[in-house]
Amino acid sequence: MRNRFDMQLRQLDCELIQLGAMIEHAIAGAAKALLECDAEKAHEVAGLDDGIDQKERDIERLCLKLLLQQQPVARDLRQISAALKMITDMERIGDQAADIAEIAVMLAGRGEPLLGSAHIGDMARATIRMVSDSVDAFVKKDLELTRAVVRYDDVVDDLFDEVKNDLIRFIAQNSACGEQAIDFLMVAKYFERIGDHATNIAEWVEFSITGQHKDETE
Amino acid sequence: MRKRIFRSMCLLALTAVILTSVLVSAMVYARSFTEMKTQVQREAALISVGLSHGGEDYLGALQIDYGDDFRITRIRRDGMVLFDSDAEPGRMENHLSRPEVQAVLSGQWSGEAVRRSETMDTKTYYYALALADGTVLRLASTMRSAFGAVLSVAPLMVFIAVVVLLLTLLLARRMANLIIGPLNALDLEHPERDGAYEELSPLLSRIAQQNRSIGRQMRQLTARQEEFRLLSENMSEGLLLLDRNAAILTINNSAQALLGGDADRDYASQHFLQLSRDLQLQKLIEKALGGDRAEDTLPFRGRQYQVIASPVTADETIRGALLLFLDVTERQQAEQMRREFSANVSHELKTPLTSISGYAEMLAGGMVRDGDIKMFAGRIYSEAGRLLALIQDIIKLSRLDEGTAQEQAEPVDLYEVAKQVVERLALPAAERQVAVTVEGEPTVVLGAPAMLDELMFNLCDNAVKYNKAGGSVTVSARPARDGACLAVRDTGIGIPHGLTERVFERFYRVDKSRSKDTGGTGLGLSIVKHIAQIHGAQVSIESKEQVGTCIRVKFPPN
Repeated sequence: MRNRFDMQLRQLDCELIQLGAMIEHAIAGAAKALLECDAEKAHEVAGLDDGIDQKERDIERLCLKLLLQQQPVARDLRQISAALKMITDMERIGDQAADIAEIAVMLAGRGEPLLGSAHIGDMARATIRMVSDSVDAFVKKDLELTRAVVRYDDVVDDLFDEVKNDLIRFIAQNSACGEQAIDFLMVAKYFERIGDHATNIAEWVEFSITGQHKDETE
Repeated sequence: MRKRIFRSMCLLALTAVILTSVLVSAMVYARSFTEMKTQVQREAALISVGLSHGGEDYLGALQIDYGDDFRITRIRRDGMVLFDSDAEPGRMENHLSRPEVQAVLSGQWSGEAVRRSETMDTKTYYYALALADGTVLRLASTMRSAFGAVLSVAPLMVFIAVVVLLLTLLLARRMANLIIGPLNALDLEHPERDGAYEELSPLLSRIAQQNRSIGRQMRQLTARQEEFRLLSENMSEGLLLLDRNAAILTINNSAQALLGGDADRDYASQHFLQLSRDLQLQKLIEKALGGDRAEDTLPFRGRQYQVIASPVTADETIRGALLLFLDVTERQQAEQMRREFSANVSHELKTPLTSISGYAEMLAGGMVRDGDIKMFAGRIYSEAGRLLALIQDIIKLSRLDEGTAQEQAEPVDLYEVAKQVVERLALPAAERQVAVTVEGEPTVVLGAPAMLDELMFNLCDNAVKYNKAGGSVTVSARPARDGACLAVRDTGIGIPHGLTERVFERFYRVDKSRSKDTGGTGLGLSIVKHIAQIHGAQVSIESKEQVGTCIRVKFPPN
């Protein structure tokens, strides 16, 4: 009985890593589509979202089945409840990657040159790193890495401010391109939100390892 | 086992005790009954003799103490009791009906009978004897019944049984220890070492034999595994073996490194996802685990890998997947180069042919004035020359590529070669007003003379061609500390910064517009590089735009 339960827990682990890999792929693709004005890539990313949603539902079903059938306690319960929380954040990251891709399609369609803000590229790279690290922390059960992800969120927040300032300057200089600037602000906000979701994932990873969530330690 | 030994021994002892006591008591009882009978009969004979001699008073005189078990009775022929040792004769009933009395009265000399009393649990033996005076003498002796006798010794028997049982328990314990002790103390690793009792030795020798064969097989397996490990560890290709749940069975260092695994972590029996989350790789694995062979080229760590995933099947079921990672970066680059080369070749061949065909068409159509025919023919001739030179260069290069141009190595004096080449180039150099000088000293290297001549010619030809009017070319050949050094220095147009390495590429031209004027094929320096490689020499280039270029070829020591 326990053997079967262990197997199911391992399966849950694998499915979560798979979902993690999917969102990593989606966010990297969205960033690439945006920065290189690659409409084809953007369409591909938008198509990934369905797969991510499906995976989220699968994992959710598995978690509920485990909760009902095995009535887990202690560490096992923690692992399953953390998984339930994590998939919500992961699914949100997938949605936001799709949103970024949508804007990328629009920008590529208009054929407008990329704005002169280098910070949006930095932001994309920083968020990709955060998502990647949070999934890595889950795979390796690495506490140090989860804390690094939480700390790194400040970098992304700072970058968001910089992008915002860049865009304000840009609008002041070329008031005709206001729409593009607004689109970019949206993209930046999405990246910033993705960073927050990655932070949440890292916190839940920490909870599943130590049993303490950030609110309890503060 | 211990319990069974205990039980059976106790059972045995108890049965023995009971059986023995029952049999012994039965025998003893039978014997004592016979003895009693004999004694009663002898007694009766004695009393009858006493009566005949001592008269009536004899019995009275005898009346001492016969005890409870012994009784004397004298009976008249009509059954009246005349004397009884136990009771008052007058109160006693008539004894005529008693079988022993009847037997005597019927004329026998003696009669006997045995009567049991169930209530008293006794057995009485009656013996009657006819006396000379016609009366009957009867003696009776009472004995307890056989069952009673046995019952009377029962406490003793129980005592003995308990003692025997205790002894048996002790013995059984010792016995069990004796049997089981050596079995428990058996060292199964070295069963033949300690001496258990001999009945065990067939088992032990069998175990020892099996131990040896298991040990042998283990060593073989370990050796084979070690072999496989060494083999896979030293492979530059990545190797990954997964079971049907995509857990890692074997992974070699190359695969672990290229998939970005931690070097000091052991990934054996972990899920593949713990190692890599690459989605394309996951697709390949899914396909392989589904039973189809899959192949793709994926980038890992900045290099291109051809990944082959094949299912591992046994008994027609899929047991896992085997992934092989082949580094195809160079192959892809080479392929790219080949593609570019063929595209360039066709382009380069087409250009002169288009001119030739154009001029020839005009001539054939009679569109050329008689006076111009000579000029047109000259152009066709020069274009054909270019074409020929190009084809010759391509043939040379392909020969060098295939390595069929290998010639016998012999000592060649680079200085001499340089002088000859410069002589050959004297006319074109003069036309371009370029001064060519050779300096240095006799420098002998081992090599193919024709190839070295070609190398020298291409270098000097380039130096003259890409020079300015009034410029100079200096060819120097000198033995160096480690081999020989050949340098061709010019004061020509030079090569722009950052493009110096590209000039060795096939058909690469720094200034594409000049190819027609100079008549070069764009293959000269490629040929130089190839020849240098064949001779183990290093080519280096230094150049400054509008100042000049120096190409050095360093030959290794002979």
